Amino acid sequence: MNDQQLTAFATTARDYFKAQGLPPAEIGNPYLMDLAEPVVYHYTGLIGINGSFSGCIYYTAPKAMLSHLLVSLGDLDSGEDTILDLVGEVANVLSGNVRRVLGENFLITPPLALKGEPEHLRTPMGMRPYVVPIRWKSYHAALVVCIEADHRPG
Amino acid sequence: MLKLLVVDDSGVMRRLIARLLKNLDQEVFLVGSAADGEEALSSARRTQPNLITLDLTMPNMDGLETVPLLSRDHPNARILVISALADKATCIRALQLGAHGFLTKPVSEERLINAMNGLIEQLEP
Repeated sequence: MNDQQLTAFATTARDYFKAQGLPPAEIGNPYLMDLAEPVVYHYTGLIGINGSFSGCIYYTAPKAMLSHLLVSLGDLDSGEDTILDLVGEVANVLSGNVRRVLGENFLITPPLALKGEPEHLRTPMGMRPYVVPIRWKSYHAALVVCIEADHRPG
Repeated sequence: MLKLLVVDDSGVMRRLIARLLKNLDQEVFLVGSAADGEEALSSARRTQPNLITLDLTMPNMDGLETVPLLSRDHPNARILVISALADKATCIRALQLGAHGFLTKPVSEERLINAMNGLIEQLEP
């Protein structure tokens, strides 16, 4: 993944809040994740990637941030299912929006929403993901990008 | 009476759209909601909506498969695609397949209301 592509993910993460009229998010400098210390908060929305790239993307956030985001969006239901729904939807939006830069062959799956912080993280084909840190209000979350260009013929 | 069908695999999105109905220029009733294309076709047959909001990335039957079928079965309904897929090619394809409008998520209340009011104006009285 080159700088322009990585910047596209950071820009997308920043614009997610702005586009909905929410207080702006601060996006930190992306860095390579240490697989021994995976960046995972309480809830995670995972998107599979295929087509021109392969791998996965996930958005991970603490429960308090997702609950706060729901209220900010006018949703009064902050039950477990709704939080899982939201974390999946955010992952879907962030990964779908980068098609502005990565193009229509950057194919995304519907989200898989997960709860919990695993002790270990297994990445596709041993890839080392980039972490895009997100700070919104007082909360820390992250967009984790684990993709590589797919050069297979056909 | 104008009738709306909301199609999105996210319940948060379905509720967000439903909450905005009170701000539209005309009275619009939510007559159905669906989480994928198959449910959407079934619900549309039952409820005969005038307006349909449709997500693209969904399990089972996605939005690009669903658009031409909804368009064929409900030629007078206006279809507004609301999707995270932000590339121009997907927008053009959705419109070519029969959608009448396209909004990229995340969507502000103002953009959504304006788009829906625009489609309501296109409906035959």
